[in-house]
Amino acid sequence: MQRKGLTRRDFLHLSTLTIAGLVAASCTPAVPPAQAPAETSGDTAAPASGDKQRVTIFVGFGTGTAPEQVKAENELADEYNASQDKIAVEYLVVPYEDAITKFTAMVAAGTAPELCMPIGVDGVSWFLDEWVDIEPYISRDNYDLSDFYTSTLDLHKNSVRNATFGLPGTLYPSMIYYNEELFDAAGLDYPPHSFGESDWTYARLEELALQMSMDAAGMNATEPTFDRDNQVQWGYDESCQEGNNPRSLAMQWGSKHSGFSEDYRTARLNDPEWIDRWQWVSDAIWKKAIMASEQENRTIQINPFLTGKVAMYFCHTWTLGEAFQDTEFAWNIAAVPAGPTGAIMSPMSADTFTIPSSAQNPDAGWEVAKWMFSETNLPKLCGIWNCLSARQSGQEAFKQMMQDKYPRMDLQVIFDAVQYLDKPLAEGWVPSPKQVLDLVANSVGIIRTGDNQDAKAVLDALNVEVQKVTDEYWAQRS
Amino acid sequence: MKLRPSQREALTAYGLISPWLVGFLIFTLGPTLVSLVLALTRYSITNPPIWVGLENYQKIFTDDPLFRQAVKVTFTYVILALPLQLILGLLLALLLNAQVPGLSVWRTIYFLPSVISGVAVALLWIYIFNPRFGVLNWLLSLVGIEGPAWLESTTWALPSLVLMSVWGVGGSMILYLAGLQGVPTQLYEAAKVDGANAWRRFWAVTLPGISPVIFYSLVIGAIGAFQYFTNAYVMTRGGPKYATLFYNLYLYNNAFRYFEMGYASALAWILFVMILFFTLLTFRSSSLWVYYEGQVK
Repeated sequence: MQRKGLTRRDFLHLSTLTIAGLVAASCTPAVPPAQAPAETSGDTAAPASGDKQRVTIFVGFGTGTAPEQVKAENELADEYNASQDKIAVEYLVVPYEDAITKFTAMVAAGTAPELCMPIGVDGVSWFLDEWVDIEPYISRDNYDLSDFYTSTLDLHKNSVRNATFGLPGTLYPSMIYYNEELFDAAGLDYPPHSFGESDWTYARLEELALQMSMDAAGMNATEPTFDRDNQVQWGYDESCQEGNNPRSLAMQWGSKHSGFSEDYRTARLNDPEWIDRWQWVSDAIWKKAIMASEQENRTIQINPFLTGKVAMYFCHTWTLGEAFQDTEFAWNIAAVPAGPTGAIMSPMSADTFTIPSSAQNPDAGWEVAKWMFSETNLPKLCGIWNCLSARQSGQEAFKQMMQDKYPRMDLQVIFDAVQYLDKPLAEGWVPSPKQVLDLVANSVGIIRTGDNQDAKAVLDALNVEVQKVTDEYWAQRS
Repeated sequence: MKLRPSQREALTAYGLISPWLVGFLIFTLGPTLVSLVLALTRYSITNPPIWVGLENYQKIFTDDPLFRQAVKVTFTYVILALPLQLILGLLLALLLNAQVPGLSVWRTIYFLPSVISGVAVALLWIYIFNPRFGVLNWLLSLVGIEGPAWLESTTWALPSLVLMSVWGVGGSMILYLAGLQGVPTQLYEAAKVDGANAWRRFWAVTLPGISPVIFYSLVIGAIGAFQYFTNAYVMTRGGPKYATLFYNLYLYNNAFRYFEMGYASALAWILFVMILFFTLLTFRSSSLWVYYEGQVK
C-alpha cells in the first residue's frame, strides 16, 4: 500500500500554525517585575493585593545575595507585611555582576524598585541623579537621628545635589589585622589596639614590617643578605585599600580631600600629600620589600593575609567573610597607625538604602526603609549582612554576632575605628565615578607592577587624565 | 486568487525562514539601526538621548587616546595571533592526517580544549600564568629560564593572550583535516610521477587544495580576533597600564561601566567598518590564492 506522505500544502499549513502559535506566545503580557521570580533561590513575599502599595527592594549592589541571606531577608519582609496592611514588600535579588545592568534597564523601562538596599556609597555615586532626597521625609516625620553614631550622619549626603540619599545603615570600618604567630616568631610586641597611642605611627609600622619581611633563608629585610627574589613573607599589605579605596590613603598623610576640590571641578590627585603617600607605597614594595608587588600578590587566595605569609593587613571588617574562621594561625586586630602629620584615619565602607526618583511608590519606600533601619530591625539586617550597625544601640547585637564567630577578636577596635572614618568619604561621589575609578586603578597598577616607581610622575599623569574627564562631565551637565 | 506554483513555492520558503527572519529583524537589524542613530546622541540609559550629531565620532578620532590604544592592541593581537592559529592548526592537521596508531585519541586530545567554555579557560590560564606559582614559569625554571610576570607585565600581557589563543586551534584543525581529506589523491600521484618532492607536493597540491578552508578560517578567525573580549575581561580588565585594552573591551567599558551608550554605539560602528574592510579585502584577494575544485584559471 502506498504511504501517503506530507504534501506541500499540509506542510505550509503546519508551519503557519506553528509560527502563529509562537507569535501569540511572545505577545502575551509580560510578568510584572515585582512578580518575577528572584534570580537567586529564596521565597518571595506574597504579591500585593487589594489596595496595598507594592514596595520592591532591589538587592544586588552589595551584600545580601547569598542564599542564606535571601532567606533571612524574605523572613524580615514577611514580618513587615504581617505587621501592617497598607504596604506589601518583596525582594528582588540580583547577582552583583548583573545589578547595574538590571537596575538601569528597570529605570529605563519605568519599573524602578522602591528601594535599593543595601547600597554602598560608591553605588549611590553611580546614579547620582536618580535618588530621592530624603531630607524632606526626615523633617516631615521629625525622624530621630540621635541613636546614630554622630560621625556617620553625613555619610550619605551629597554636596553637588545638596541632598541626603539614605540613613546611616551599615558600617565596615578598617583596621590592621595582624598575625600573632609571626610577631611571636620575630619576638616583637603586638601593635596597639587603642587608637591614638603616641608611638603607633606608620614609621613604627614600617620598622615592624621590615623585621617580619623574610626570605627563604630566614633573613629579614633589615639584613644585608636579605634575598628579595626569594622572599616568602611580607611585613605589611594594604592591597585591600589600594584596590577598594585608593583615594582614602592620602588622607592618612594629612590630605583633607579625596582627590577633588570642594566643588568637584578640579582634580587634586597630585597634591603633595598624595605624592608622598603613594611614594611610600612604591618604596614599601620596591625598595624596602615590606609589601608584595602585584606579581607577588597574585596568590590563589583573594586575601593575602589568609595565606599566613603577611604579618599586618590593612582592610575592612567585610573581609571577615572570607574564611577568617578557618585560619590555621592566631590573629587579632589593631588600631590604624597615625600618618607623618599625626592624622589617624580608618577608611569606612558604608551601606545605606536609596529611593529611586522614578519609583512608583517612593513614599511607601520611605516607610519601609524607616522600619528596616529602626532600632529593632537594623541590628537584624546587620546580622544578615555581617556588619556593624550605624546605630549605637546595635553594638550589643554586633558583639554577640562577632563573639560567636571570632571569640578572640578585640571588638573595641572596631567601635573605636568609627570615630576615625574618612571625611569626605573616599568612596563617595566624584564626576564620572566609574571612569575616575578605572583611571585611579590603572595608576595604582602602574606603581604596584613597578612599571613606574616614581609616584609624582604617575600622579601628575593621572591628574591630567582625571581633570579631562572632569571637564567633560561638567561640560555635559551645563 | 489562485497562486502560481512558483508563488506557492516562494511563500513556502518565506514561511519556513520566517522565524529566523523575524528574529533577525527584531533582535539584530532593529537594534543595529537604533545604534546607528544612538551613535549621534549622548545617551546614558536612565535619561533620554540628547542629539549631538557627529561629536562622538569627532572625539573618537581626535581626542581619545584610549581609542588609539585599543585599536593598536587589537591590531597587534590580530597580526600575531591569527597567523599563529592558522599555521598551527594546519600543522596539527597535517600531523594528524597520517595513519598512526591511536590517531583518534590524538585528534580528540587536540580538539578538546576548543570545546571548554571561555570563562573556565580564562580562569585556568590565570593560574598557569601566575608568575610565582604558575606551571609555565615552573617549566621554564627547569631549563634555567626566569619566566616573566606574564599578565602583570606591560610587555608580556598581550603576548600572554596571544600564546593562550593557540589553546583553541583544535577547532580549525578539524576543518583542515576535512579539507586535507578532500584533496584528490590522484593529484599527489601525478605530482610524484612528475618528480615532485614532499615540500613541492605540499606547496603545489596540498595548499591550493585546502585554500578554501584557509580562506574560511582566515575570515572567521579575523572577525573573532577583532572582537576579542572574554579573556581580556576576565583575566586583565585591560591592564596593566592598558596593555590589553582590546577594542571590544573598551566598547564594553563605555557602554556598561560609564553608561556612555551613544559613544559606545559610535565605537561599535567603527569596529563594524574595520571588520567589513578587512573582510572585503580578503574576499577581493581570494581570487589570487583560493582554488575551488573544478575551477579553471
